[in-house]
Amino acid sequence: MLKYISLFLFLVGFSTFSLAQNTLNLNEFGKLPILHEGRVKPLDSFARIEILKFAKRDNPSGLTHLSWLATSLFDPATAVTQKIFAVDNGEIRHILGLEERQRPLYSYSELVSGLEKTSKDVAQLIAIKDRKFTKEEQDLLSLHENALAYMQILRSFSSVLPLDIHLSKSWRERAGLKENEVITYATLKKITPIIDQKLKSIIKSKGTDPARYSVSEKEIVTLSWQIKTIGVGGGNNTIFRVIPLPKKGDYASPWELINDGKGSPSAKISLQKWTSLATALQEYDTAKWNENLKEIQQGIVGGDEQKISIEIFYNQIAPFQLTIIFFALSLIFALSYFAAQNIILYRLSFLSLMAGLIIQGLGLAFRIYVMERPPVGTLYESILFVGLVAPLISLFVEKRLKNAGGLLCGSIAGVMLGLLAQSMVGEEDNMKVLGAVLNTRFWLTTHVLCITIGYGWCLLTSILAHLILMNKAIGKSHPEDQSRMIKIMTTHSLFSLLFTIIGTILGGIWADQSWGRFWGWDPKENGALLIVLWLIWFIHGKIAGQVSNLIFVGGMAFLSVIVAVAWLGVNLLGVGLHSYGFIEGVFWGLGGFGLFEFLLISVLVGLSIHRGKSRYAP
Amino acid sequence: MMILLVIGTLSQKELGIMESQSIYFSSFFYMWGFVPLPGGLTLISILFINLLAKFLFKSEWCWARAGTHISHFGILILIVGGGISYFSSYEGYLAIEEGRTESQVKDYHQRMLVIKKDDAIVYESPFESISEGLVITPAHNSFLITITKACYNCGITKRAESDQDGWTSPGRFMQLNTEKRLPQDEENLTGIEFSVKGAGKNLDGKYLTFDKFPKPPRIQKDNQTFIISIERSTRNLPFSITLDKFKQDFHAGTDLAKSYQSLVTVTEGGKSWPALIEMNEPYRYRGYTFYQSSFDLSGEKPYTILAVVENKGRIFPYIATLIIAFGLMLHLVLRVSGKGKENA
Repeated sequence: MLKYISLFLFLVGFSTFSLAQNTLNLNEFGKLPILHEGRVKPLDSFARIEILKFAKRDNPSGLTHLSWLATSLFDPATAVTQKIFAVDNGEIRHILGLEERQRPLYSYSELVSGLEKTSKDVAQLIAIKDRKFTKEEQDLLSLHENALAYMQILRSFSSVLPLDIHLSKSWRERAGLKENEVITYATLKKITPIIDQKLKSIIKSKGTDPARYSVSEKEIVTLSWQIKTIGVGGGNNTIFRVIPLPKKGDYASPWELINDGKGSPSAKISLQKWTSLATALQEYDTAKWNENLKEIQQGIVGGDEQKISIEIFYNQIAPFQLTIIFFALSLIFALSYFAAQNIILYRLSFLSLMAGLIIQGLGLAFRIYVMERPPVGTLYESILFVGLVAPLISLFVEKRLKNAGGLLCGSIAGVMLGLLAQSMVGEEDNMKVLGAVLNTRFWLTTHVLCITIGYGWCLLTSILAHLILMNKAIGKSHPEDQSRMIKIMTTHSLFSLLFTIIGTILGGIWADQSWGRFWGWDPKENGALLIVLWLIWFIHGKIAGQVSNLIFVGGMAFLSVIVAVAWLGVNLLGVGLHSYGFIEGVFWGLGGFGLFEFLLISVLVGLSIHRGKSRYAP
Repeated sequence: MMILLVIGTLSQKELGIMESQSIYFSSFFYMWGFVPLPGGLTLISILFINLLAKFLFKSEWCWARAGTHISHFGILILIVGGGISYFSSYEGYLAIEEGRTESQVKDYHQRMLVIKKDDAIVYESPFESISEGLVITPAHNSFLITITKACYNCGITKRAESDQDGWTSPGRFMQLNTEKRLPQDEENLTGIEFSVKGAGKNLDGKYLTFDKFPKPPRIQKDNQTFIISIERSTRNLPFSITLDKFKQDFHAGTDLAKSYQSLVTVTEGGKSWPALIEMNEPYRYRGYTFYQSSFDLSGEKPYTILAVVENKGRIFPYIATLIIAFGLMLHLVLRVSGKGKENA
């Protein structure tokens, strides 16, 4: 495979221009639609998702996503020198023979020899069924996968881009090429049958030893090999589906038009415009670029421009990054209010929280509109939704407390969940379509939203419990205030129970509808049941007087760990029917969080007892 | 219960869901070393008795406690439903080729040693009852089958040339080796090796067969054909299902399925009617529920795999959900409005 890659780069390697600092209208380019991962999205989204996959950051080496995409599509020779591959694993850098850098970003051309060297190892790795990979093996596999995906992008237009191939006058005439007309794979395809025929007769008469061939015969053999090589490279290239087909919402990649005969007169015109767009970029002809963009847009019948525009706006404002800032501001103002007791700080905290909530809500609304389904279908989306629910519930807490305690709880939840969501940005944040079993609006609206509201309520209850414990441990608040806070927290623990128990049972009913059994002791089901049992245990223990108020508060504080285990931790097992949420690398984070919480809560409870000021005893 | 839940869940990594469920959740006790600890059935039974006793004898029947009582009643209904499902439900599957009709539901797990004479079953035994040395006489002592090896999960390797004497094909070239039972039950390849005596010079010899083996051994004796095979336990439906068409839709430009559909015809007592079974939309008839479970497109014609469940307790969770939700909401309304008890 890599020899084909090298040849491909050689064949298209004549261009030398740079797009880095140009002023071409890339924003309009980003608005063009592409059919990717099951839905039509703007190129802006496609470029963001892909570069994030390779570079693990938005703009590696100061390269904007659209500039990178345009260069990769229309000038692959320059693109392969751009440092866009993040190789964070030092062991992998060593294996691939890469030099050490402050920022471990490498270009494709720097990776090629290392990838070639390790290709046999990778083939052996993937040949073993059910093999558990080490971190190094997983990183190496991932790098190879990314490199192949990148090659697909680089080759998207290799069927129509000019090739650095020499053709004699007679072959140019046979291909119908005018004097200065550039050679492309598409034009070479016209002479392929004749070349194949001639190749067969050459081999038949002179065998396979090139030394016996004449100059013209060598030209035929070389040409045949070059055409075959480019054809093999583009054979399964379906990643860049941008050519609209007559059926509404259907698009084909340039290679599909050539190989699968998906073309139509309008598709042919569109492909010409895309080719012309490539030329405009290579010639740095702004007017031609804009004109072609406009014509490509006009050629799309039945496209949803409004949806595309909204998705681009969503991408640009990055609402869930913005909300972290507002929630963080709310947190700072709330803490400042506790210190200074200035009403302005209180109002600022409230306003920041409200701003965060509105933006979070709008972000989710954008996603619902774009995806045409309820907001939660993946683990990442559940974090975004809980990131709205928990701060929203904190407003109810604040309504009762009126001392910025609720604002503090909401802002802490907002920041923590926002950061957790950000840690999963990448392949998780691509508004993907869902598989058949999840493709049901009814259950995504009822069970999924119900259980995620339950998670959010539990987290808010837990944070409130932490606050009560801290107050108690430092002995700052009045016992009556603490008693009031415990009462409020108890109410919220009941709401948590309501949503988690109903959500869990609804999940069982969904399982009954989909798989034919209500309960299967699947890890995710057990996780949800664990939350329910934890809540029931402590609530009933408190009612029965078997658990003191202090232990009850401690138990509710530890609810955060129970929720984290049920929500994220069960996916670590990698078994069961809820495999949609499987994530690796969470183990240590989750273990650290659990240990930290255990120590923190133990210390706070211990301090409360030690101070001897506890009036929680039954 | 929480400890059991954690242990039973963590064990699924090694044991698989089915084995773990059997040891921890569907048992009255399990062994922790030499110490017997209560299993799921024991704990749920205690929970039920405790809650029922509290509900009947210790409840404070007042308006303020109404929500609590209703919720507790809902939990009791849920456990009763779970019990009925546990003791009465049956799960299996129908694999139907497009254009074909089926009325036999196969069990997911229960393997059977089956001997058929001219397509009629003359011997059938659960695999658990099969052991080395077992002698079976399927045709009135006209020939004997002696089990020489039985493995729930068999590995298949090449038989050594020195060991090929007396074996019939394909046993001459392959042998079954007992391997560790796999956590995912469907991955276990159950098989037997056996010898036949008294069937005649050409038929006496050593044989092997295993689960889903397409060409199980056939013994022809006195113009009768005996087929020895490992099959899944079956159950007959009182009606039949014909697969008219299997359809699947994909998300545009991907190989990710958007939906699966089986268009079937149900036939009973000379009457037929069409039905549609798709993901999240099962078809129910006469206490049986048919779910779109899987499919197989590897053959010339598509196969649909329908999960079949007969569950007399399936309505209980639906009722329980409504009752629990109503009870908890009532409790919260009473509490927030100040009409409930302070400590709840």
